[in-house]
Amino acid sequence: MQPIEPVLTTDPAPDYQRMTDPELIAACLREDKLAWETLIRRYSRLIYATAIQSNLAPEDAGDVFQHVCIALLQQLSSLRDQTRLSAWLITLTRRKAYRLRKLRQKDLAQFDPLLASEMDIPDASTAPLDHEMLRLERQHQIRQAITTLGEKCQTLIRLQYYEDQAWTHEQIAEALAVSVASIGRMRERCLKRLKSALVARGFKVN
Amino acid sequence: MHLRIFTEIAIVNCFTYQQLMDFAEGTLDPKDHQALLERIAGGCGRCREEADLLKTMVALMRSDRYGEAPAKVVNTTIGLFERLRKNLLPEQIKRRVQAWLAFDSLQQPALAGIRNAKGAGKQLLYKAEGYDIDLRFSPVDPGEFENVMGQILQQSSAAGMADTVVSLSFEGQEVLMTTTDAFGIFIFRNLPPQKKYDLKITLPEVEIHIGEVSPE
Repeated sequence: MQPIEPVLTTDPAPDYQRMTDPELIAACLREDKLAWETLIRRYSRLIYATAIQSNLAPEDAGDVFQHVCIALLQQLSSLRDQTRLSAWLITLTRRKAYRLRKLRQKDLAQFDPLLASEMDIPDASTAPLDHEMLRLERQHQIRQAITTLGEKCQTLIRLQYYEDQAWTHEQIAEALAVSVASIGRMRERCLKRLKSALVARGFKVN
Repeated sequence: MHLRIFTEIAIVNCFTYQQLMDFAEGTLDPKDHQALLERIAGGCGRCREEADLLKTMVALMRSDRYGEAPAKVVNTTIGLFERLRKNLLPEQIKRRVQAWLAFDSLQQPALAGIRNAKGAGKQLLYKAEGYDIDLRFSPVDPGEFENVMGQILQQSSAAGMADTVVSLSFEGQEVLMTTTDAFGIFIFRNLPPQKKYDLKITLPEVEIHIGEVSPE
C-alpha cells in the first residue's frame, strides 16, 4: 500500500458515536465526513481482526483493510441490510483475504508444491460465518455496547476484563478514585447496564 | 444451608447478582458454585438465564485479545472519504474503456553490448481517453515477487491524476485495491511475477481497463 499522509486524528463527536449504522450511512451519503470517520472507527478493529484471523500478514491485512473500506464507500447506497453491517464486513474481509492468500498460495505451488499443499486454504470466504467469526462479531457487539456506558463503567470493565492480567478491586478502586468497598456494587451496576445494552441490541447467549 | 440463605436474599430468585457475577468469573466459592449448579439443574430458569448470559459476556470479553488496526491504516482510510467520494458516486454510470499498449521496454531492441535480461524490471506505457498510464515492474525478490508502480497522467497537461481508485484482479477476481497519491502514483507490492493481472482505473467519468499485464 502506498504511503499516504495521515489525516483526521481527532475522535468523532459524541453525537456521532450514538448514531446507529443506518443513520451513519445516511449521513455519509450526505457527504458528512465525520459520519464516515465514526463508521470506520466503529468497525476498524473488527475488519482488521478478521483479516488477521484469516491468516494474513500485518501488511497484507492493512491492504485488505483499505480494500474493504473502499468497497464500503463504493456500496454505501446499495447496502441492503444496513443493520447487519458487521456480518457484511466480516464476509467481505474474509473474501478479500481468501483471494489474496490464494494468489500467494498458487505462486508458492510453482516453487514448492508440497509446502503449498500443506498450506491448503479452505474456501470459507462464502460460507456462513464460522465459530471464530461469530465470536469476533459478538466481541464487537460487546465493545460497541460498552461505549454506551458511563466513563467509570467503561474503565472498570476494561481493567477487569480486557487486561491480560485482571486488576484487583484495590487497584481498580485506586484507578477510579473510589473506595474499595464500592467496587462490588459498581461492578454489578456496570454489568447490569452492559447486559441491558446488549439485550437491546439483540445479543443472545448462543 | 447455602440454599436457604441464598433464597432469603435472592435478587434473581436464586442467588445474589454478586454471586452470579463471581460464578461467571470463576471466582465463586466452590461450595456456592456447586450449590448454584445444583439449583440450575433443579430447574431455576432465571438463575440459568442470568448465569449463562453473564458467563458468555465475561468469556467473550476475556478472550477478546485482537489488537486495534494500525492507526496509520485507519487514518489513511478515514481520509479517503473526501478524496474519493466524488469519484465513487454510485449513481454515475461510467464508460468502460480498454487501454492500448503504446510501449513495452522488453520489445525494444537492446542497446549494443547490453542484454535485455530478465529480472531487470520492465516498463509499459498504456494510453486511453486522454490519459497515459505508465507501469514499471521492479523485482523485490527476483523470480518470486515484484512491485508494480504506476502513474496516471493527463495527456493534455501531464498532471498526475490524484485520488483515483486502482484495482488489481487475478483470474477475474479483484484481489487488491489502492489509490493514487497527489502525483497520480500507485503501487501494488509483492506480486508473483509469473501471473497475469488486470487493472481497473476508476476516474470520474470513465473506467479504464488494462488487461493481462504481466511482470514477465
